[in-house]
Amino acid sequence: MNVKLVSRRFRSPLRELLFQDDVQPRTGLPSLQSLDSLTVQQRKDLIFSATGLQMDLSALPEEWHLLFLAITYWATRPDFPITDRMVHAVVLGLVLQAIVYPVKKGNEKAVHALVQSSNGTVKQKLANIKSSECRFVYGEVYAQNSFTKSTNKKGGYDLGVVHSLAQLQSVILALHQLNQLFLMPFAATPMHKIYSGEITRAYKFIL
Amino acid sequence: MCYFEIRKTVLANEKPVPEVIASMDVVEDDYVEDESKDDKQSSDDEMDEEGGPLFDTQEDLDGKIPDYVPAFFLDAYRRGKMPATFMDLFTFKIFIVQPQVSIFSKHNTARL
Repeated sequence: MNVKLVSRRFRSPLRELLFQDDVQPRTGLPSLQSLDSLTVQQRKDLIFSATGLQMDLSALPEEWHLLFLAITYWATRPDFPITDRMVHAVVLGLVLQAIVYPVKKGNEKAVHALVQSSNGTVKQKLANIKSSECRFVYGEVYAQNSFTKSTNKKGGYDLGVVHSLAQLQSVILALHQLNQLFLMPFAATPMHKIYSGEITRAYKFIL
Repeated sequence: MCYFEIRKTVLANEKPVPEVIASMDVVEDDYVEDESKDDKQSSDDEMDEEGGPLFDTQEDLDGKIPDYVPAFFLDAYRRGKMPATFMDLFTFKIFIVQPQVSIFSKHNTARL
């Protein structure tokens, strides 16, 4: 099937084959018609096989599974120029958006829901979070680097960092679309609550 | 119709479609042919970098749903539970990349 990839390059529309000549379709996969008859674990395994990864995500909250799968795929690709600082910035942004900021505002139910769906060490650490600690971290890290602060013109956007984060967002989008196609074996990730490209970009420079 | 106070008498006196709209297909073909003679900057909307049309034939735009698309997919798509990406793949054989800030000289973000 000659599928065309439609994009733009500079100012002109770009049209090229999505699958190059040397890319062959995988064999041994279930048919599209049989997807609704597969079990949840089988559909999860399909998504894992698409990424080439096999991870045990049971310790993490359910709504973080797909995001961490995307981060792992993005960080382990040899053709993506991802550094450790970039990955740490993404995870730090996740913790600050999903835990520190809600607890600081008094919404401890958000963390309670994460505790319920996690296991092991992560569950223990989430359950022992104190609001005083969150207020301290908020004052030291979050407030100093949020997008509301006026930025120095010299520290403008680094297109390399923006490009790398755009690659992560493409991976997240593709995994979410596959998750929808396979009838949601993973829980939907509330990206608006746990990811902010602007904050991640800012944290990359402070780590 | 009642919201805009349009009465039935107006609809009964509706005029037939003018010939200009009926002959749009012919006009569009001529427009494509003339476009190839124009400057590159003004013809970038429907043309790719190589100067050819975005779709090879008119059949590419028909958007017929193939028979192999399962019923559960169509049902979920109609309820807004499936992304349009897959319907584009099934019907138009295209994959539309979401626009992003990107460095075009580096690895394409769509090539995962």
